[in-house]
Amino acid sequence: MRVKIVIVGVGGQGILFLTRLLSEAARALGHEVIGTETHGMSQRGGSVISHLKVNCGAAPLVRRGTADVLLALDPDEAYRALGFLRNGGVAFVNTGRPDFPSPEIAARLSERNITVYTLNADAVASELGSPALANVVLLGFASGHPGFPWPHEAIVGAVKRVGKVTLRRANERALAQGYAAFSPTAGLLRQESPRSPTPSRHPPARGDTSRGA
Amino acid sequence: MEAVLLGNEAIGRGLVEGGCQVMTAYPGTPSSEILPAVLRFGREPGSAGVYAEWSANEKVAFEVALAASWSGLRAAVAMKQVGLNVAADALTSAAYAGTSGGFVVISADDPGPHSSQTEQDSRLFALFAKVPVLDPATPREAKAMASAAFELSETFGLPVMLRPTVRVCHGRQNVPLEPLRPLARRAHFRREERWVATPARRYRDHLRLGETLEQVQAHFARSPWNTFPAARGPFTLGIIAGGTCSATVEEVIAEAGLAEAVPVAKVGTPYPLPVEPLMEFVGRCERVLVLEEPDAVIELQLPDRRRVAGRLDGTVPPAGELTPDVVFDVVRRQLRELGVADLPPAHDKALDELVGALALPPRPPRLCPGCGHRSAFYAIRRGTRQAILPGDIGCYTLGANLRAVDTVLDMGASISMAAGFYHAHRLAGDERPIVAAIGDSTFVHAGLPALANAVHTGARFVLVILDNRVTAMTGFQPTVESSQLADGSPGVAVSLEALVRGCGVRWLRVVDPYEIGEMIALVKEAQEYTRRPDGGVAVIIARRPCVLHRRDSVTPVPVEVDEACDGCRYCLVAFECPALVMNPTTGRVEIDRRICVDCGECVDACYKGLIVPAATGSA
Repeated sequence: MRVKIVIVGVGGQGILFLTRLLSEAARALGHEVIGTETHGMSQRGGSVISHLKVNCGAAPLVRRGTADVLLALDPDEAYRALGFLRNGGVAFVNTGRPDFPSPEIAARLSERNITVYTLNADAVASELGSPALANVVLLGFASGHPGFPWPHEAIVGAVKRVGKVTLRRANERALAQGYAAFSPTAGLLRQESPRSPTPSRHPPARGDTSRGA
Repeated sequence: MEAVLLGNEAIGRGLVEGGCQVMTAYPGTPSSEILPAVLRFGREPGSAGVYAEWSANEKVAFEVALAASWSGLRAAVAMKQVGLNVAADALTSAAYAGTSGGFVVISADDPGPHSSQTEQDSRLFALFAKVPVLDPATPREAKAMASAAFELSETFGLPVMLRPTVRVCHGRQNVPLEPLRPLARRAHFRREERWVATPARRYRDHLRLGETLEQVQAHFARSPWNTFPAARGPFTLGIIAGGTCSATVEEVIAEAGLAEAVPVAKVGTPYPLPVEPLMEFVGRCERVLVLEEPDAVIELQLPDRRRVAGRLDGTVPPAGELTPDVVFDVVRRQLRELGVADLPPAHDKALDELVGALALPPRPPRLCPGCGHRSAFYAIRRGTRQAILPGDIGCYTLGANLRAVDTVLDMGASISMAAGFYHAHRLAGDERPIVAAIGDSTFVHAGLPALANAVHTGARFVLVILDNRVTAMTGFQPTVESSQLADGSPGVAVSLEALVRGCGVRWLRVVDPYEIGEMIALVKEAQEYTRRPDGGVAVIIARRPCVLHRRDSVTPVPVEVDEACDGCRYCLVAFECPALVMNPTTGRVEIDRRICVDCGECVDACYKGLIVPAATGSA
């Protein structure tokens, strides 16, 4: 396992919690973790970005063009961070916007064999009774991807160990719900031929349609 | 045992493993998590027990901890880099006096800057103050250095600076946890001549300090914190890198497949710089690139820079963080110039341009929904005309978004500059209103001398103390007003009112800023007082707990926007709450229910009366 992942969103969306979960999951598997996160001023509603690298040496930041995975809790922040992805990288984006990503950008991503999966994690989290769970929902969604570097079970284990004890059950449910949102028809979500993209091939926003973990 | 720790937690752990018994700090990003970690690990079995305090400011913190060192204990003080300016008087003198128990000064730098008013380099400050510095590259190294710094300090009898940058402080890494072994030490202050700073004595101290630093330099030449590439060569390009930059550039070079061709010398002890081994390395390279943050300290100390490229000759950008993107660009240019390699560009320019064309709205930081400061600033704007509005350092710097903050310089400047604006304008007979705003923690930090000075010199202005009962920006640390100390034990709550009156202020009112109408009236009344023949400084304490810290302090008043809203944007500009958003489709303002805290304050922000309390508790 050698991974570079970038997690982005807006202050208050729980980016740092996802970073802690993924760090803990990687550590429990015996891997070397290094990363860095935004604190302070930018947490007051500003853009937040977290870098995490597993078995990649000692440099904390991910260089643009080299990330394997992007987790984005906000579509605008996703746009800003797409440049981090390498050719063949994967993005998981929380958005209800049917037009994400824009046709031009989708075309460029396709040329580079970058796949984007979207989920309205906010809607799923609201259904679960707490909009604040969108971060864990999105993580569950990503962990449903067979190529996601962290085994789903490792993340389930981390959710049981990290964060406030009183919230762990809710986090487990959110993770399961996100996971279920991905797995049934994962193949359909993939963008098709990397060389001939069209807007109609973008993955649909799915949160409301694939419930029932 | 091993754990994934935040860099600051790793530093805290290292301090406790090193036998730290007294820890002080003033909170400031990116240093704030160190003291809580010391408290946490200091409670574990095996620890001798730690006294830790959030001090009123960095100078106070420094001196409290130094006294513990002079009493023979191991002590540490932590601050952000601009805090070191405040503690500078103590630091420079302490280097001459020396230490008894190990004394570690942690000053966290913020290249970028991400949340600071300057990009200053604490290593440069250490050079100025003649204090040895350790510069960790990673959280793991930071932990080891924090512990070792005590030994170093005791070996040479000097304060030792640990200088992490934000990427170490807020980095996260697997860190080994060593068992805690308490030192069997009891504080015992002994009289020594060197503790008394008299000029005659200080000349000799200065001479001795110079000799000690030479010994430290020789020690650093053999230090495990530095790695000098093996005696091979010649090389076309070599690199000297300090702290985080060493890890970054090693990755860039390795990913380019040039690890053999381009050797990297890593410097973890930037002052006093081990010059000899580094110059030997420079001698084996055609050109040496120096990468360090945020300024040039290693480069500055290299006695012969004819083959050296870095910040000083413009090869490396003179400001900003050395992200891997910047490092890649700099290294790539050097490799091409020297004919070593021609790396492909890293950026997907086409993608960058497409994203740029989206013209995404920027996301600057804003005051939180329900923040009492917003209501206070709104009232200040409504209650003044043509006023000068000096501001200060804290969350409420964001009052600038409401155009209620005209200046932000440094901690406490709102008050001294308000006095300065008054005296300057009065020379021309211009007695325009001046309304300064400062937070409760910042007021105690550096505002008190400024207020006493303003009262004494007859300045006339209104001071609003935004009292949210905590140091909010940095993570809700207690202030002197708190009845709880850093470790949760009871403390003596110091009254802001008493402090204000003690500075000689005769007009003082306390208001809940949520009572916007009342506060507007007070702002006007206060200005009248400043114009009265017997007037002076008028102080309003706008007291309301931080909504992030004490959400339960809000009595819910759900609001809704009437359909008659014509989208005039007045509320968006004047009240600037993130929960008020324009719906571009309907052209009307909406409430973002995900972040609204139902404070109901925006009812005042629509002069047309179209933001109203919700009819049924439907929200």
